[in-house]
Amino acid sequence: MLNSNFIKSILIVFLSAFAFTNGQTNDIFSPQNRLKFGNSLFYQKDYLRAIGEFKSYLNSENNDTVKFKMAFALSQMGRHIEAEDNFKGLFFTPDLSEEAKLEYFKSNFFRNDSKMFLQLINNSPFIPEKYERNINQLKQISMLTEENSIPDTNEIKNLFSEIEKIELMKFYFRKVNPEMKSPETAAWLSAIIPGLGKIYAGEIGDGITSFLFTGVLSFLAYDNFKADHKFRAWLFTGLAAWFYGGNIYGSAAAAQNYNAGVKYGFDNDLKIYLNSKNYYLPEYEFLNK
Amino acid sequence: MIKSVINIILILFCCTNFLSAQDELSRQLNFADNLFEEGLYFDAITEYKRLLFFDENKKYDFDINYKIAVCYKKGAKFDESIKYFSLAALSAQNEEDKFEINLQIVRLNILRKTTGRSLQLLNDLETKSNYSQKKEINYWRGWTYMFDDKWDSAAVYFNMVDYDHELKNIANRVENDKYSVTFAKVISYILPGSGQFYTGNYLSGIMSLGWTAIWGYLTADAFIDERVFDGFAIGDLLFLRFYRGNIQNAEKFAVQENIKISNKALRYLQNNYKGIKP
Repeated sequence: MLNSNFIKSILIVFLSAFAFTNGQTNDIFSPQNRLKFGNSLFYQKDYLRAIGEFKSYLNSENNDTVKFKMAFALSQMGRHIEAEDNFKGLFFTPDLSEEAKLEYFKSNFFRNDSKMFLQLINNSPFIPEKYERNINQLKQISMLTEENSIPDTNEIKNLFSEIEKIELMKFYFRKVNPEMKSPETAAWLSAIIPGLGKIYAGEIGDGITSFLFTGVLSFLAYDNFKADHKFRAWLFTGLAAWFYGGNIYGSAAAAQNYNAGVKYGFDNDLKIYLNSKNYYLPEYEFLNK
Repeated sequence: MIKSVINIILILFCCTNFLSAQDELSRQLNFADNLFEEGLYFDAITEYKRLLFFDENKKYDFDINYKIAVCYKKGAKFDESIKYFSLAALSAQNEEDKFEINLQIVRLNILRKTTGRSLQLLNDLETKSNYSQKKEINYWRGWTYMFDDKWDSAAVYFNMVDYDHELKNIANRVENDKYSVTFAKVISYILPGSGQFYTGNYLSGIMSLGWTAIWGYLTADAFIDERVFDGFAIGDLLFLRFYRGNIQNAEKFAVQENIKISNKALRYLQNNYKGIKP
């Protein structure tokens, strides 16, 4: 009798335990499972879906690492303003405060508004001590990209390694002494000798063509006036004047194009270089767990 | 007695655990399928991916990867779609499934206009295909060539599928409607502006004819008056400039008109063709 009761109680206890554990482990929408799935999506860089899972998890649990991952995913997706707001919420957490502050500044940096970024850095009380060097590096980099600022060469020397320093100083010199062409000079040169402004702006073929075209048309005008062919003379005079004026305008435009090309080339080269260095920012191991 | 009861409990534990997990996964599959049916492809992908993640026995690998690929295709994410079709191919159980998946990948390559890859895949498939599969391969070769704007080649392959295939007739019609770029250029060499007239760009044709006539006259006049320098200058800088421009224009217009004809045909196929499309 005792034996039978004992077996019955064991059965009841075990079956209840089964039901409970099954319910716990097999509910794929449980917060823990959502977190696992979210982490997997995050690892696959499927950030939008990962954010959805993290949000659902955070509805029932509080986890700073998950909040950090969510903000990081937003930043990776280029949603920098939202990322900043989310990182701000982690400024006073015990474990991730410094990282959140760094990522906050990083998100702001990637909004591609160097002026705003420099203002923020100069006025913010939240510069993370642990990553102060990274922030200062970003500051020097953004000074390279900002039109009206010049990086501090001493800072570059202090903040970067020997090889990096050499590369960044090359960019520094390209920024300080850009090989720009003056549109006014180009226009004046073309006014004096047609096509010379274009040659000055680097468009040598166009310059020679303009010179020949304007020269030949002018000669034809002169020749026809001499031969008393009034109609043709005025026609060629008009064409010569048209080409002459157009060449002056075209030379100024060519110089502007040249300058835009120099600026674009500088920005592009700098971006490629900084991307290859991950903007001197650290990578967090805990994000891959 | 106690020993046997414990054994039963253990068996029960294993069975209920397994069955409950399976039940949960099949419910999840239904849920994802419903989202798919409703056209909520983003959400469907999420739920299919969740199912993949929790399907430890890889029971649904093939179906789910296939469906994710289809969802990505519906969302025009062709690269992602190819990735998941390739994953599905890895877990395909038989040759028919593999063939079907490879054709799906071919169709995506047609859509993203990676013609070379599409033809390469079709050539690979042909080496191990039977008669009816060969027909299907030629059908997709036809589509590949249509998307590559080679309507004559497309017609050849549709002809191999069926002598009176609807797409063969369409491809032939498009090929006939298209302007000959060479012809447009040649007639413009002979009579400036005629290439533009041929492609229906009458104003441009008249302008070309007018300019070349004026500068041609002035060139000839200069030579007749023995103003050799004037003649060379006007002839080289003005007459030849407009003459060459007229030939280039004729070519440009013929190419542009051909693109319009091709696009019109592709739009017709997209909206009106009832057969299988990429």
